[in-house]
Amino acid sequence: MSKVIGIDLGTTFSAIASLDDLGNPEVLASIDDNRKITASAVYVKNQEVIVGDKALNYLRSESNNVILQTKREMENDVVYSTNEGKWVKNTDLIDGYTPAQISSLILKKLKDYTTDVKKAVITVPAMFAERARQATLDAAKIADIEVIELINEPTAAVLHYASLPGVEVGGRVMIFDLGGGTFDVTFAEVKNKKVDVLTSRGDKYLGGRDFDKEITKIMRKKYREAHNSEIDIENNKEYIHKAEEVKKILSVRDKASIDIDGPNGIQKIEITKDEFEESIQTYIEKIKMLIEEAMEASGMNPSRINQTLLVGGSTRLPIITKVLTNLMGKPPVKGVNVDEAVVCGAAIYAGLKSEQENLSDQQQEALKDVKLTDVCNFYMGTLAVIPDPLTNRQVVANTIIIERDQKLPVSVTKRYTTMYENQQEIECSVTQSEGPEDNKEFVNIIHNEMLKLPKGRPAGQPIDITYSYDESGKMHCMFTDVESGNTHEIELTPETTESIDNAKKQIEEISIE
Amino acid sequence: MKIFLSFSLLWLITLNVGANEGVPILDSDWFQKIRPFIIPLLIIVFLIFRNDDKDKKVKDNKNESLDEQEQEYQDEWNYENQTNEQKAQENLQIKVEEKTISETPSYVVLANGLLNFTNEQIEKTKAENEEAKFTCYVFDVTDNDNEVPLNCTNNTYNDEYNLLCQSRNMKVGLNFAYNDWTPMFIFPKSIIIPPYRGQRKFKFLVTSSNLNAKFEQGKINNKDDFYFDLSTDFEIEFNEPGYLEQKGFEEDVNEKIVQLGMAITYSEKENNQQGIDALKSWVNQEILLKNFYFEDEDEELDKKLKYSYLMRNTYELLKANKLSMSEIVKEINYKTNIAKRYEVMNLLLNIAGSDDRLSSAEDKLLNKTARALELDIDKFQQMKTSTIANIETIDENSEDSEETIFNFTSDMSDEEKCKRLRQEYTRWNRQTNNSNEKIRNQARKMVELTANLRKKYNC
Repeated sequence: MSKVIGIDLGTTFSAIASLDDLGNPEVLASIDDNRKITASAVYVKNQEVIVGDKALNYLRSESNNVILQTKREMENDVVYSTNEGKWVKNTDLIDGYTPAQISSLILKKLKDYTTDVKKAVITVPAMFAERARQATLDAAKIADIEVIELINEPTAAVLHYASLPGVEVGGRVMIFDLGGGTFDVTFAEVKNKKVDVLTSRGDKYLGGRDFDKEITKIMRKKYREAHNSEIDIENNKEYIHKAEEVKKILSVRDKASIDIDGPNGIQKIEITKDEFEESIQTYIEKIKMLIEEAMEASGMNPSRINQTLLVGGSTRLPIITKVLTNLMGKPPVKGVNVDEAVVCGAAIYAGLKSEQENLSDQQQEALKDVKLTDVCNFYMGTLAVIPDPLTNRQVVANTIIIERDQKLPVSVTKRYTTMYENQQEIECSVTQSEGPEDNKEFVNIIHNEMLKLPKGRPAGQPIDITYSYDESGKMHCMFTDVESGNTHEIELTPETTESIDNAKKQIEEISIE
Repeated sequence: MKIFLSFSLLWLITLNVGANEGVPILDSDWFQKIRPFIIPLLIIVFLIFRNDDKDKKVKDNKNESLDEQEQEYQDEWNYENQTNEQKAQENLQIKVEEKTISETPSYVVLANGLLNFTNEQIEKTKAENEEAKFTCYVFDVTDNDNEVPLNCTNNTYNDEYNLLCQSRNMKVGLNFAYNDWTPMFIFPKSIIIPPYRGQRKFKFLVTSSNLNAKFEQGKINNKDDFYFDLSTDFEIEFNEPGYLEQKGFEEDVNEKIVQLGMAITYSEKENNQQGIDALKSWVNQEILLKNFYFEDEDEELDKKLKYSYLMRNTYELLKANKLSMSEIVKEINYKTNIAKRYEVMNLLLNIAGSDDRLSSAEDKLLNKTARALELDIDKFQQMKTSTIANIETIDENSEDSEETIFNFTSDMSDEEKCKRLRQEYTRWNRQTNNSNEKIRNQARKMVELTANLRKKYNC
């Protein structure tokens, strides 16, 4: 029997959990240092690869060979160049690694923490774009992991919270997920172990790593004041590692001192909590705006939210608790390991999605009351010619078929008509957007093909478009010419990209430590 | 767009056709005893049923995210829950009301009463799946002796002769009725344009016919296809130029648009050649090519010369600070409708973004012009979003450039500014997932800008 596995593939830390015999999620410890979270850091040199905290040891000596924050690049057409020590656009680079390949190395490392890892649920930020989800699936395939499903990180976390025996979670809750690289806020209704997600909002460029960058800016300023020379915070990754240490100290103390090695020698630098908190105000504003937006979308206000649940290491910062307490009028729920909530939830979800014969009786008993209803995180639509209400001209615009935050599963049919006499084809486009956009520039076209129509018919022939979206994020689209019965069907399953064989081969030749 | 979607959806909704349910038969003695109470009782029952029915429908429809008017639109033919007394109501009547439907100011044709079908007509409808076509044309009848059907170039609201019209097929039967004033047709206000401005009288003519009936000049062609019609008059004060006036003003308006375009290209007190090229391209497309088939070569050349001269002359006026923007905008406002003014703004935004950057001076002038043209500022900001998303650089050097981008004015409170910034943040944060890298990068910059400004205003 293969294990029921959940994986949190994070920007700064990753983790793997399995369901124990009693059906409780258990985070598996690293074989290197027995820690339950593993740095999402990869050291690559020729055929040698080191993944995890050990990779960080090379930040000082071989900074270019240490790859950090791969998750932020998942949607981009880039490769990591060890020569330049950064992600570059040149995808033809022979010795470059794609984000999916680097992520696969992290997944392979996590896989080694236990035996029999064949299938897993992997978590992604709620607002991860289609491309980034695709790249995550590619990474899993390269690592020889069959993905049962991708689950949104805050959704996984609330599943964990709802299943915890010692924590009272119920009513309308806000899941505040501030990780190393991304921020998600989700509203959900929780009753016993039943979770109904209402809405999610997120920022893919907001996380602990951004706070670290702000600390490096303070370090640079203070070093300049002392020596009238600059430290290279853009290219020397050691500074960001030091900044992280400072941030951790400032989470519990009012000031932190650190030795900074720069062009004019070592300088002891002191950074206060106030300086740090002032430096991240822009990010705090973004957090407040996203919470406001999510509340507006779900028709909530702070008084209607019963609890705030924290997820992600960055929620340990005192300023976050302060902001949330001010905003929501009550402090967030404490006492849960914020680093492990997502991965534990992923393991629970893997249990829910596993076939009954793969689960022991105790596991089945533990999961029997757990229910999850998720929502569609995007507007799904199609391009059509419609009158522009401002100018009264006919324009090609995005029209929405499935609204955002619709409970899954959902199926919607809308009728369109052909435009002109003897129209012999229509473009079957499927669009995805975070907002109710009509401007076609502001939507992502995730599929586009033609449907042939019979000749010689007058304009105005009805075309029915049906989108059906299931709980696992699979969407079935059907474009039907009502009169002739001609159809064009599209199965939009988050599948891996066509050819990753080379990528896989390249990784297979590497030995991972 | 919402209207369009609502309509697409509404066409799909199956009409709720109810059966006539019988009244229970009572014992005759008992009947004598309670006879004095029957009428008051029936009235109470009627009122209860009516309210229940309404409440239920409103509740059921809440999740459909349709607005009140669209819910009413679904309520037609809901005849089954009524008492016999209620069914004996008046014949069909129509009226027109101004309402906002899906955020679009509209004229709504409402209907109430029993449909006026004869037995013979109902028999005829059986050959067409018991359906009839209802068609609504709008006529300008300000001049009693000259009834003019209104024109419309919008395909959603016109017939094959480009006359303003809507039609729909509906299930019909004897005793079918609208039991309350219910929307039957919805025309966005922006598409109803009379020949001239001022006090106008419109006639809304609703014709019921068989499904294949043809119309000419808004009237049915073949009397055999006709079931019945009814009309209602509606008066409005039309403050924009009528379509015949617009035609007469076209030349003047084009000249003023060119001058406005030149002002944008000169907003930084130097020539923006890409901007001038964008303006020239508009002149070619919208003025010269549009009239290509109607004019001889000499006329075309004259026009080219005229616009070249106008651009040069405007440039000189701008250099000498002698071009009155307020005069230009005043004239455009008088001689165009709001739809045209949005088109003008679109052109100005294209000109401003043609060199891949939006300078603070350009941005300020665009903001002022948008207000002067009496555009909806939120809609203008949306249009500007599209321009900003496609350019490389936004000028952040000037002191107030950030505020200019978000169109803040001195009379706005900090609270209003915070609200606007939140809207802009939402708008841009959504685009950080855009598959177009240029838009994605610009969106990230804009997200930073909004957050920084929120910090500044202590939101």
